[in-house]
Amino acid sequence: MRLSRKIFLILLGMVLTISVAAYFYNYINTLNEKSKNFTTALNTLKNENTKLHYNILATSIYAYNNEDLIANSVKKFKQQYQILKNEDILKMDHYMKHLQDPINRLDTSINKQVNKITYFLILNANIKNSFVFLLDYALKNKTYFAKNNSVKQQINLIIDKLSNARRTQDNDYFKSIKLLSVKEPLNAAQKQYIKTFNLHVAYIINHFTLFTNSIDSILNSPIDKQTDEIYTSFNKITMDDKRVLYYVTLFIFFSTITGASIIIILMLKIERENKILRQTKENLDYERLHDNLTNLYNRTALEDILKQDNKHTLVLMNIDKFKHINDFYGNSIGNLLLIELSKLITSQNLSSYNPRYFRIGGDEFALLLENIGHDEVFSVARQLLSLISSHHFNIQKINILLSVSIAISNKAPLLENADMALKHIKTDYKKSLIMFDPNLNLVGKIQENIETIQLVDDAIKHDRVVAYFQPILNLTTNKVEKYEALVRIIKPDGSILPPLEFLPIIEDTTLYYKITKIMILETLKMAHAHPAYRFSINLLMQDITNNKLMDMLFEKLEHRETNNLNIDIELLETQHLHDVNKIEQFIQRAHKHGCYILVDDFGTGYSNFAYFSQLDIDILKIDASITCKIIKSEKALQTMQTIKYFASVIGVKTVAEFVDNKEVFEKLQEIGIDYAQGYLIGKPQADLLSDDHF
Amino acid sequence: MKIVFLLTLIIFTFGYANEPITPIPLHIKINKPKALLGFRLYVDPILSSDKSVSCLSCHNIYTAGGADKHPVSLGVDGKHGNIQSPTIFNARYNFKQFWNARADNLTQQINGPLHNPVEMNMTDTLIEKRLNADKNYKKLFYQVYKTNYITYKEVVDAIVTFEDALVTPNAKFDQFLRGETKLSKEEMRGYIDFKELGCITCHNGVNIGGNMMQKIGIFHPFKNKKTYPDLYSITKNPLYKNVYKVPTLRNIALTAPYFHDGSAKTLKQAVSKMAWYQLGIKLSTTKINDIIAFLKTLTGKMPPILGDIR
Repeated sequence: MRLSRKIFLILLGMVLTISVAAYFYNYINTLNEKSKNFTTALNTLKNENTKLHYNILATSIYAYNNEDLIANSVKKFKQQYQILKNEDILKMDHYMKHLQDPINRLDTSINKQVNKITYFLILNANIKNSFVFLLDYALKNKTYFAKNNSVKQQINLIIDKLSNARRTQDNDYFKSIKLLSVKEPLNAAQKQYIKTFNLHVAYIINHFTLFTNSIDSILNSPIDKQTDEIYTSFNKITMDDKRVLYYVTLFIFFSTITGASIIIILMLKIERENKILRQTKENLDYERLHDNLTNLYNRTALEDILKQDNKHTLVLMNIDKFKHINDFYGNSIGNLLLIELSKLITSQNLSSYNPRYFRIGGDEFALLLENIGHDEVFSVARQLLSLISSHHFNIQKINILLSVSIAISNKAPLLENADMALKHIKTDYKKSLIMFDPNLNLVGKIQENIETIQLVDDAIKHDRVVAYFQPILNLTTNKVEKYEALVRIIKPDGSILPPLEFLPIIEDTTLYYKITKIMILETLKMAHAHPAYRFSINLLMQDITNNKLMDMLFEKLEHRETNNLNIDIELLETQHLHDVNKIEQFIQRAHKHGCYILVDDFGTGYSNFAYFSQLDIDILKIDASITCKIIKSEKALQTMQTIKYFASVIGVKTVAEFVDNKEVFEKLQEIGIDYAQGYLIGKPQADLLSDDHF
Repeated sequence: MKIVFLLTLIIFTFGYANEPITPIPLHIKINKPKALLGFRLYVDPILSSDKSVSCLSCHNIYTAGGADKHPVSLGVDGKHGNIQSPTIFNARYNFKQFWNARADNLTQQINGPLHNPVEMNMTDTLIEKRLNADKNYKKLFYQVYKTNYITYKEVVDAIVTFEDALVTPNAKFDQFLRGETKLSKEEMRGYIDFKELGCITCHNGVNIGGNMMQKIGIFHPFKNKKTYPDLYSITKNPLYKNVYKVPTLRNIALTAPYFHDGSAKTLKQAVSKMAWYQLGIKLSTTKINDIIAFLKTLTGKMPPILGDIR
């Protein structure tokens, strides 16, 4: 269920609970109000009854009384009873059910009581009347019986007893009362007096029991008891109601608690989900801007920065021949290598330039530096080059060497310019560092490259890829012993395209493989035709690691003796010979097939004596740049001598290239270089020299 | 000496906690428009079946102290009633209405004569029909009750409101009770006799009567010439034979004849008979005259509402 729906349901539930609570609250209030009203009415009724009792007693005691008080008291009592009967709470069935009977009994009692009071008032008035009359009448005895003390005493005694009886409401006093009697002869007036006196005394005596009974009956009416009974019954129902109310309250309380708990839980859940979302967003942001392999910034990050600011300096580098590393060791090793390299790059302390590091492509790294001058950035770049090329990358016990090419750009658009420069530098495997300069006309060069690729493609299709052979002279015997096979492309116009103009450009294309294959086949053909000479084939690292190509080569060489195949291998771009083991394996295989191993361009770039000393190399070809200078430069000469010394120590022959004058030639002989190659001996040509002797 | 002591003792214990007679309030709240409409109805014979009698016919507020000069009143078609008509004045202060107290109040009482075949002989519907047919009444009722249809309930309400206004305050005796005037010697003697003889045990309260039931004929039986509706006629309790509501003594000088049967034509006869029936004695002429002098101080001023009637 969706969260919003859950919240809606819970809110609905809470609204319902609140409604129930509100209704319930109102119900309780109303019930309490009704209950209070009822008990108040009941209590008031009791009070009225008490007041009535008081008034009854008062009028029974006081001779002169305002009986309005009783009439009003009765009226109020009856009104109060009506109020009680009309109480709202009695309209509730379960109340009426239980209270109907006691109320009916009370009803009867009240009617009886009212009737009793009517009768009481009649008696009361008459007794009081007689009494009041007697009190006054007694005093008049003097008028009738002036000298008769006996009469006076009798009257006093009677009045005394009547008074006591009345005060104590005790009938016993009447038992001893004797009516007034006089034995002496009486006149008519005296007789009348006695008669009237006795009439009232007798009336009081005869009616007094009725009178006291009447009072007792009123005072002992069951009204009080019955109201108490109603009160008890009422309380019992109320208690039952309250128990129900208690449970409902409990239910509402727990519902509310549950609702609140669920809301809290949901809120916590929402909070947690939000947290996850935030983290996801952060991760996404991070991933958007970071390379997940090296954790450096990625291309997007760089582009984002460059969109806003192109004023920095960008150092762009990629690994030379990284594709071959990946092909050869697999991506996992390649990835570990990239991680290792990223660590190496970032290990440089460049904090003063606020450096930011990026991996913007497979093997392409970038370094964005701020406030850095031309010379400083070159220095940084060289440091990086040296650091990386001298570093032994030890990945899963495999020792790998790398080289990188670096392009620097400080002109907008930084990345595009650096990229162009880097591509450009790749066409010259001897150069590792370049700074973008609009004067390089890189855009034009890219166009040229495209044309070149088309040219090469065209040449392959039309068999215009040809092998030229340059003689290599044994300086000891002065006899040409070997030829180096060199590729040439014949343009449609018949002119020759030298390899440096197309090989670097096609190096990373499939054309390169085709060219190599043609060269191998052409060289084998030539070797077969001229078994007196050794022919060397130039191979790159990518050729060595190309199993298909190597299998083809070595298959042909299986029958070298019968087919007269004396083939040597020249390893080019040795700075890219990353894996010593692999090369060793290759060398072993080549040796088994009677091939000598030559290392080309030794002494230049990053050639490393120690590295080559590990390899089972047969011949070192000393770099042309050294050979050219040995006459004019003492340092070059010393280098040449050192190489010669090194070669002799490790038991390796040496070849000097680009020998184009006699002076150099003699110098080489003097140093003790084993072979010479160059225009002085012979240019590369489609055919071999006619004369082996120099 | 002893008797003096006894009397002191008796009066001490007996005495009275509050004045047994209280004056009529000088001011009462009355809804005048209603009362005046009530007056119109009170005097209008439209409320009797043959349009021959009105409330006023038997409770004459102008000539008979709110009562009827005849021993029994004449109803519709000249029919005779069965009891002496009591005064309407101060009727609101009676604890109940009718001689046998069968109505708790005036609202209940009014149903009696209106519906009694020998009095006004009406039905509620007939009253409503007649009044609603009368443009004047319709207008008057609209003014007072804001109603377009006159109901019986409103008719009763208006009449009762008028009757409630029929009080006679400021009688000489009330002024005496309030300490505003003195009674003459004769009147004072009458008042003392009234108390000493015990008359006051029944005739007390604001209406000097009208607050309890009493039997007529305690010491000598009261002989009725015919059957009158006493309390027995309602309760069938033999004890209540000849038991009637004690009548008010207010304006008693104006409301002859007296008793439920109108058998006492004069005050003198009434006082004398009361002494005979209720005390078993014959009063001397002096005492009777004294008491009558007292009774005359109970005549109050005419109801103020009557001054508002034009």
